[in-house]
Amino acid sequence: MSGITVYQDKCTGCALCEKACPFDAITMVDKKPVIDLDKCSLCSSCVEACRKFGAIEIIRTTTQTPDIEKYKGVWVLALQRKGVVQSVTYELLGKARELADKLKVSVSCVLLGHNIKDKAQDLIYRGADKVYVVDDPKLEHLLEEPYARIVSNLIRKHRPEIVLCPATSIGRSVISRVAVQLRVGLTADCTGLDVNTDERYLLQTRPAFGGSIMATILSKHHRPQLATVRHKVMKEAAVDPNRKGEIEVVEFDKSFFISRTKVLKVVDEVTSTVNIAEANVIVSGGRAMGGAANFKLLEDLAKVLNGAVGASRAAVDEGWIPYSHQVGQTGKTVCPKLYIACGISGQIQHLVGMQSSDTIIAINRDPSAPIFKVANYGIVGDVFEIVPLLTKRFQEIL
Amino acid sequence: MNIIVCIKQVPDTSEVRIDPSTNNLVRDGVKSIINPFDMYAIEEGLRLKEKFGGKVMVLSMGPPQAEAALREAVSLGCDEAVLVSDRAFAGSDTLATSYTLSKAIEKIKDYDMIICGKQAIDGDTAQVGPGIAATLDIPQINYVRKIEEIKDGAITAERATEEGYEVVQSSLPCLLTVVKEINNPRLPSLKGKMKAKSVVIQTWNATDIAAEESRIGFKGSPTWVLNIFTPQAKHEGKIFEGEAQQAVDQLVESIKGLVH
Amino acid sequence: MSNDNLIETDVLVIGAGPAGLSFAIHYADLNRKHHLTSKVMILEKAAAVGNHTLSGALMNFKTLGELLPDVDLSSVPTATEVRQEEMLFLTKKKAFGLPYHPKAMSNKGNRIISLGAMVGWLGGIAEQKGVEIFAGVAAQELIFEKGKIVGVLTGASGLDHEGKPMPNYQPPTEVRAKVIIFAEGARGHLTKTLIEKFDLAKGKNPQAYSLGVKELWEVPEGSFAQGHIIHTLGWPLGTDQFGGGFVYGLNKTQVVVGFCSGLDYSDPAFDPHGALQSYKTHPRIAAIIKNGKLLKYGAKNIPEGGVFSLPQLYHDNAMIIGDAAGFVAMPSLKGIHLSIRAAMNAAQTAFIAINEQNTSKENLSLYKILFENTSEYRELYAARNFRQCFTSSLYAGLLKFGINQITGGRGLSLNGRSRLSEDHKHLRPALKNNHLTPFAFDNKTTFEKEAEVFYSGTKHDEEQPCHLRILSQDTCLQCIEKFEAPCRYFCPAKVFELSRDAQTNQRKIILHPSNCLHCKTCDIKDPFQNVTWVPPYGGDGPRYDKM
Repeated sequence: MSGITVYQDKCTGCALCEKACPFDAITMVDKKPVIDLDKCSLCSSCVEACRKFGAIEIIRTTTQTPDIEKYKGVWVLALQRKGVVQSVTYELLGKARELADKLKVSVSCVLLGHNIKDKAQDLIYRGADKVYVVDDPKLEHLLEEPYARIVSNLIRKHRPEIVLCPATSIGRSVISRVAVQLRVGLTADCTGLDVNTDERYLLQTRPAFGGSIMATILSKHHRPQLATVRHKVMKEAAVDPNRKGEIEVVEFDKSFFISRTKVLKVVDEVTSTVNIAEANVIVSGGRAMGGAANFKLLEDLAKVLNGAVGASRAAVDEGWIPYSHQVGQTGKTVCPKLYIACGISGQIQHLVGMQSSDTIIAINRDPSAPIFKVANYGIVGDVFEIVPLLTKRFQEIL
Repeated sequence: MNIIVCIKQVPDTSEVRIDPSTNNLVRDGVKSIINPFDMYAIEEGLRLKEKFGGKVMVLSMGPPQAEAALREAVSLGCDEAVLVSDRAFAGSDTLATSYTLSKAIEKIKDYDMIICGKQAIDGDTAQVGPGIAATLDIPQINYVRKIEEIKDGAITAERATEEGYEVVQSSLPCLLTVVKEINNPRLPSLKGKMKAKSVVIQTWNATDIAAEESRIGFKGSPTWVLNIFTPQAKHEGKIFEGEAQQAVDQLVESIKGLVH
Repeated sequence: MSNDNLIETDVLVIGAGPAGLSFAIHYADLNRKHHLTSKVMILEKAAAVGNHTLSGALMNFKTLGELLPDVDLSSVPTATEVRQEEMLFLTKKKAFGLPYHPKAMSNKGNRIISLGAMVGWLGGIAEQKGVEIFAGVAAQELIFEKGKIVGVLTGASGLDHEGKPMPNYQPPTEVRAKVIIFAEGARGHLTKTLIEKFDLAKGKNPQAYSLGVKELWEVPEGSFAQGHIIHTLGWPLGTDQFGGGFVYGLNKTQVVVGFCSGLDYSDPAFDPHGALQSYKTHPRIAAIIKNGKLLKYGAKNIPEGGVFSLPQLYHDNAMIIGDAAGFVAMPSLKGIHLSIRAAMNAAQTAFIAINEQNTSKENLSLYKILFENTSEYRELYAARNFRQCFTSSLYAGLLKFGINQITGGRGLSLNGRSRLSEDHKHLRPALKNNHLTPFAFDNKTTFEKEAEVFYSGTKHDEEQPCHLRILSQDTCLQCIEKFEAPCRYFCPAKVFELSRDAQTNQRKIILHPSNCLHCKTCDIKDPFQNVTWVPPYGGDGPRYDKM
């Protein structure tokens, strides 16, 4: 029987559990905790809080992967696009190496694509001990069904204990399919990965509730443990051109390549038209922009950074830019990696819409503008002077 | 077309805050809403129904209070609603959730398309949509930003990628997850609200959907949460001073690692 | 209109406030008592019942007890008994207890409540009794047939800024009913249309309003006792202005601070929100909120004209109840229990009319007769000339008020009725080169409007057409010229901003309709009556829950 149990005899009524519960699921009644199972998400915060007395226990009975101890090795699913390995793969390789060294196991890569064999060596240089390559015209585009089928097959055969996959839009859907096929755990968008070397399990840290909280996730009883990681989260592995490793080209029967979906066209779009809710970089303008024409400066910066243009309500109400670009309480909530606020004072209505951005940069003439309180970096100055300089500088280095 | 839209009732995370003194989520007074991405899924389902005829059935796995979300979906125009609810589902991770919803969909049986929102704003995993497609073994198109055409048993759609988009074609039935670019959701009509009040929400438990005990709830969840903590306040608050070019150079130096 | 967009019911109530809900509850009770089944439906523009309800509030529970004889009133949320009462006259630094407390103003036995919370509770009771309440639905227009009102049209949605349908367009719905109850609250826009169309205000005083601006504060326990109430006159208002402030101890850690300003003021640069911020700097008030945290902000108008400002309350197929009519008895500012009584009378009238199948104005005039025979009416009648005393100076007003008390409310008028003129007619032209010292907001106890609006929880779908209808842009320019755009001061939500056109360099007003608190001060106070407030999409607006 799985569930959460309170051992009344061990409970001292200290109510630390009630305070620790992030979901308000515990109420003290007659100095004993009562847990509302409809609110409880079994996150173990109360168990942690009660470690001293051990009065709360979460018993998890679940089936375990058979021969779990036989699963060894850290894998990275290398993703390619138009025949080029996506650089996020190298970031995952860096992390994979670190984890593998702690576990004293090897790092392998799985590379699927078409005319891709020669890219396998790069993965060795970046830290892979072994690369499984599957090369077929049908694998030119990332398609969930054949990719998942092949990856699942390789995992079943070689039994890695950890598999890392880039959290690109397609990577995530491929690995989700793998997780279901193998009936194992998958943790998305990890910002931190570490291992418990005694018990050999992966500690996966990731944000939830729009970034308001961080959670540490485990998948103790199932192998492999799958995790996805986004671009620019981990550090890229260095290139070592002297590194040696093994490349194995794996052949698969054509039934493995069957796909009920097919890619008709691939389009690289200039991202200044990208929807701000999905953008990774947003350059946003406020009242100080002074007019619609001046938003061109922000468009130029956004273009160089591959980002979208946003606006505060003041700018939208003045008619300088359409509502679809508005960030703020009743506009769109955004959480890009980088948010550059230009001439935006930072009234709370706006902050609510963007404060969970990873990195916030503020450019404003007024040093006491509230935006500087939430910005990671700022420049006190005239946007009309600063923004073009930024554009030029980024153009130079990118 | 028979369309199933999967929705989730979530707390409005734009209102969820951390209480600095207790480090807990302050959920008091935070409304429960339909996951915003699911609103776009519902809207797309309704538009397809308006174009091709058929019906939209809305499905959710959750505690009894999730019924309110289903009623709201009906007020927008969905024809039928099913709540899959059982104490035994408690502690479900994305694998168990995908399984549970898939069993419910198997019970519904007749469908041409399943539409889900890209991700839920509490869990933020984006795994359940693809998980359902995998469990049912049907094709999927993720992050759909536009449906171009549905014809001859196939759908052609644009899926958003980091670099732009791809045009993908899939056979039906298939599962779509949608992003906010795809449409602008409608507001409910008064007639819709009236229907929502009177509609009977079918409620199914684990037995009704013939779910295997080992694959639902806790038991069916390979991942679980070890702990939850507040993220470190990451704000340096560094202001670059001095002459404009100098300040710009310093800023770019600091953040260049973040951009492509 | 196709069948898809037509709904028919027996009684339609516009607005789920205290009056609308009391009406529906009593009507449902009458149905049950007589084993009849006519339907009553309420349309409420807020996303949830209570979201747009705002008041101090101090309430006499007597009439509520009669509306709900079987309900234990201790279950009214947030209600706390008034324990200690103070009336003060403030100067900038000092506070003086007033020597004379008129009995009519005593709050002994009354409760401090969050009216929004009470309304939410009342809504639950109404639904249990079978009343259908549809929140998030805004009634936009009235439907007339053969010169009589027959229903309302709800708003369309999915329109762009110019009013053109977008792909998610939803057409309006027609709701037809035998009797339509106008319970929209102060300056209801449909009520305004009804009154104008049938000249229901003929021969009456115009309505007079005070804008109440209110904040809910969390304070450390011990800052202000639960049940303690303070009312103040004087500072920051000059002697030529009507209004006053209040502080109520809602519970051990929550305090309500507010300021009401009569909208018949004459200084075009007067700012009711600013008055509240100044008020909080008074040593007596500042001491209470000193270590506190602002939780919520809101603003709403109070109809103060009293009995002589009531329009004719009924017409064919229609009745007006609640603040839309104006049942507030001054100076005690008690309107809730009077509204409940009038609503019950309206319910009785509607019940009889529906069952007699006669909803003509003659038959509905029973409402007036019933109400005029109640003790609540007598309370209202006693204060009938109160507000009119205070149209010029505070001291003259207090003197006239004293005379009122002695003459049993008759005052100095010859025919027993003192006159009032419309609030918007009082503004005098702006002084040119009048450099106003900007208020220094400390962002701890005093806040800028734009920042405070966030604390009202107000949200609006911004793709919709602007719900503040400006009749003439030219008139706007005239107003800027003559009065220096008083809208930017009197609006408590900074919806109106004086800006300069980048091309022509001419001054103009830009609107931020998504800040709107639905108080309708613009509709009331615009000196040219150039702004008409209509409801935005249903569900939009502030969220005053528990405030």
